[in-house]
Amino acid sequence: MFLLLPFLLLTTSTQRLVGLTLSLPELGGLLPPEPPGRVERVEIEARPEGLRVLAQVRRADVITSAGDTQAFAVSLPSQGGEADLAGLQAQLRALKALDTTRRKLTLRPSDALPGQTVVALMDAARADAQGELFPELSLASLTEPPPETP
Amino acid sequence: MRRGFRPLRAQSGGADPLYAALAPMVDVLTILLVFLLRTWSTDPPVRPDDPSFQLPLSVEETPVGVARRLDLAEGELSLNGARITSTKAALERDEAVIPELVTALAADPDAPLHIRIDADLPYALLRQALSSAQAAGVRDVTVVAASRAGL
Repeated sequence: MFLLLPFLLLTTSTQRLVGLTLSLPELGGLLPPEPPGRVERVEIEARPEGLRVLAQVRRADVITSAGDTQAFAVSLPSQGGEADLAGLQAQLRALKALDTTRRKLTLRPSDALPGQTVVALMDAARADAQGELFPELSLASLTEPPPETP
Repeated sequence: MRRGFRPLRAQSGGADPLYAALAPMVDVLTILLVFLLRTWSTDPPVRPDDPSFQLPLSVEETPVGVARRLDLAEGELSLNGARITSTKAALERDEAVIPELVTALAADPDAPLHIRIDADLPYALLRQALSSAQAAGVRDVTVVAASRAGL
């Protein structure tokens, strides 16, 4: 132990680097097709004022085919300037319960968000305390203005 | 080490206060050893010449391998240490891609790419870098972060 400790103290780096892999389609190409589950699309729009979870869920009908979906949108306002990650994970967990085969998600952060917030959102979307959520992430740009609130 | 303890043990006569006194130190060293083994990393410093550069923190545990490094720092964008352009210029132009970066990445599109962005820089820069990688034909892209479990 008296040899190992100085060795570790001398060689240990202060940072351990980890990697968050991204799905990046070819230019002009599309991402691989989605598995045939109930949830056809999941997106997160992230703005400084809050998050918005968008999902296309296939109707729970025997004769429902692909594309016959219902759109869901949930807004999660920022709390004290911080993104509501717990609320986001609760919404994603509910979507995951509808379709456990779904692994893909598109994250659309606004240009102004700092890198730390984007990485925190990626972490939140990949897994929560109960396990895996949507580990295959795509990053996209957010071009539309925020929706008008009535 | 034991040789040095023997005379004291002989003087104490039965009870061994020195060994008892060493027990907390051994406990502390064991805890320190476990902590160091848990956090041990041989990753080199990210940008030793730029101490203000801070990677975002992540709970992800996947270690990074060897790849080309694209650094998006406050002052400049660099690929494997070679300057591409200034960060300010890239943000001010606000184009979909950074032409200089596309040219540099297109030299070897099959090589994996690690993007290391400063935690305080805006996503706009990462978006431009990702679009540039996509335009250059790079498919294997990883965003590098610092583990929250590290020191």
